[in-house]
Amino acid sequence: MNACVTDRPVLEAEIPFDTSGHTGEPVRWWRTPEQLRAEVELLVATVVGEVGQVVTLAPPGHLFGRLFGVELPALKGIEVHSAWQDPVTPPTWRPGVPALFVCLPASWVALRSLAPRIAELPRAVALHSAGPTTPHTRQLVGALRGHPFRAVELFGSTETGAVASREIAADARDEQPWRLLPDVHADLPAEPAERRLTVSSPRLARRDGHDAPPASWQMGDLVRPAGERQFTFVGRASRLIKVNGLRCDLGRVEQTVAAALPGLDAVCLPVRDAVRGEHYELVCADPAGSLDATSLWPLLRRALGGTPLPRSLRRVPRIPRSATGKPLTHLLTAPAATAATAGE
Amino acid sequence: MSNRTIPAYDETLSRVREVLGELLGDGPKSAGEDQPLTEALGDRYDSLAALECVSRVENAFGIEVDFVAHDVRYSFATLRRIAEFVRGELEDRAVLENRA
Repeated sequence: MNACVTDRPVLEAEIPFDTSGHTGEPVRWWRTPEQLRAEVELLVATVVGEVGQVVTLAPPGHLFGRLFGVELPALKGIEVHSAWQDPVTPPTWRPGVPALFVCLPASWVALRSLAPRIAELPRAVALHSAGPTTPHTRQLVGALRGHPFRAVELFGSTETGAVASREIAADARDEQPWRLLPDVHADLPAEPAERRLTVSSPRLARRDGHDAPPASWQMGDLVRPAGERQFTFVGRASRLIKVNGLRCDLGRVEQTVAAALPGLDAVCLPVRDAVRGEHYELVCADPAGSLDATSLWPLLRRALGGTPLPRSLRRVPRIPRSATGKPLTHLLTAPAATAATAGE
Repeated sequence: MSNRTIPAYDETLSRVREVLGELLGDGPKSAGEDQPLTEALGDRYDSLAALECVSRVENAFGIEVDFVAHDVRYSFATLRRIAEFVRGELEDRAVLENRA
């Protein structure tokens, strides 16, 4: 069945949001206007406070950008300055009006240059979502210490909406645990054992083809309980990463590359990315020597379609593997040394 | 007086190639110094990649790009412009340090 065709009539005004899904096939999730409004009101009441303008650096096609760049301004009747189309050009806003900045991982590089202007605002809040914060985030938070500025990170997904939040500290060592939002329930027992985070709330989305939202949803994140309604993020339960908010299943990328380029042995390595938060490197061995970097990029682009391309491509003489064929990725994690070995 | 030495253009360009190569693979190593990076790297050199290059160059040379004062789109369009931008920033910093 095509995952984007619904068996059930869509309720009037339901809004679709697409994810890449865990199998790589697109999945559509529907949200009611009431759910969107509830999420905006909840976060305004608990996290954002009253603001008079929104500066959005997140595209409105994704839930986060839609909620705070479209729904919140409409609900509150406030102006919105859209700057998500061009992350290189610093956004502008109206001086003297409390502002909400809607930020993705890549937003902070340019935003930190605007610290003096943000400091002049009577109040400012930056909401961050869709991937980990970056050193640039903390740089701006540090530069605005002592000013009426707060930076808050949201934890959530297209399927669940926002689940938890925490203040962003200027120093990574002061990282706080995540606190569940008031309408979210999660099983977080006292013992601090790692577990997949499973949540329920009135804001879970309805999967295309289903009659109703699920009663609960198991997220792809491993967490460790950290006190009453709090947890710390341990890592992802799968090889799913987010490249500036776009999901990318590294196992799926490897399968796709193997099918499209037989003879090429390729492994994806996740890397921290100062701008996008997370990214990946494709390490490949081409025993036949038939492919050079110039010819590989167009082939990869064609094979991967809408999936984010690797940040870089590294050729090695061979991919070291265990007796069972599993790639020994710890032997591939020194790009400079390996690239030198490969003569690049 | 500042003891900082401003690297020569060729040295700066070589280091820029190296830094961008660590990020983007061998494309920056073979690109012409006046060749637009959008041409050398194709659509891999999009806005986000340019931001990543800014971040890498800042770390490598100990400078900070001001997105308000600088035209990043222009300064990070070719390897020559990046190298000249870096040298300009290092020179400015040396002047400020000498005044202090």
